[in-house]
Amino acid sequence: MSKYDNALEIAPGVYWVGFYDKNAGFHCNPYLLVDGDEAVLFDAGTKPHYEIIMRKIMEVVNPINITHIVLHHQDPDLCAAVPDMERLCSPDLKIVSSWRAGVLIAYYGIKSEFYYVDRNNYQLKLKSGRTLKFIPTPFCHCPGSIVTFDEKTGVLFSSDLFGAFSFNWDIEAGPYYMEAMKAFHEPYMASKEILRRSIERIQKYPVKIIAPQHGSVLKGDKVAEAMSILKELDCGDEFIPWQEV
Amino acid sequence: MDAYRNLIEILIKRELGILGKERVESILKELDIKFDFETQRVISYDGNGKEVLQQLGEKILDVGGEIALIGARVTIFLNAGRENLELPPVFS
Repeated sequence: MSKYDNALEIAPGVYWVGFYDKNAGFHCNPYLLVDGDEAVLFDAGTKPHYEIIMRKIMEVVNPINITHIVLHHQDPDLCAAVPDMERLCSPDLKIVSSWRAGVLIAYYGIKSEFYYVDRNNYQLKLKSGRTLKFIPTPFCHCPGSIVTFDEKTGVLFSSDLFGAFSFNWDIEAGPYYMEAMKAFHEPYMASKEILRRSIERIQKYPVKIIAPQHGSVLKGDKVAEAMSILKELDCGDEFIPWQEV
Repeated sequence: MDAYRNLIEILIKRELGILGKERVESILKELDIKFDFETQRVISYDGNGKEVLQQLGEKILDVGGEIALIGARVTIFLNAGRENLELPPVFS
């Protein structure tokens, strides 16, 4: 029995509901935000992990309370579980994404209605009045990529940004996390300039906790440290040693 | 030790993040590379640095697969370029 067999609260009302695979170098982290009788799921997860994720969600809320699933981009590690999941969620479930990502997300066969953040002033107001802000992070790594900032807790749901390759995974970032984070971004982000612009946009928000979709949760001094590292990181096309063919 | 010491050091530091301390310690022991985890500096290794870098890359591939090496490739490539060093085949 490990602590990762259950949902873990990473901030008040915000839960990690992912799957811990001790042999993997790459972890996927769906998160659940509970706000009164309403819940929002971020980057719902993979098809193979669907049952584990759903069991952990059910430890925290009845899935019928999930009114929104935020999909920060269109990759299968975020989206593939949604067609199974949406059947158990609120009948009024909305899929929250950028329009650009939504065009592709629809191909998973998702039935629910979309809520495009770029047509809604990049924000979503929950029933309680709590506001989620969406920050465009284009080409980090998809054209329609976004991240979410929760004003109430200061949590940034950062999708691929601030993620890491790590065989030595823990829910909270350890002493060697910055190297693991650089390892993920160097070959994965489009370019240094593109990454820098997105980090600068994020830095305008009072982020207290970073909850990435891969890697570990960053808190305290690690938040500013990680932003400063990524802003200057040599990454992407101009630095990748492509072989000419 | 030789001109490759810096690249070996960069690779070890990166793998502390990717593979974790326990796996890295075991690899270094096997290759007889002495590393100070406190200062994160290479203390010593035997033989030609380019060959040691190749062996280290191969062991990392064995232990973590391609994902463990791809996370180090860009920084190793950049630093080799800056120091005008030819990389061993595992990085090509």
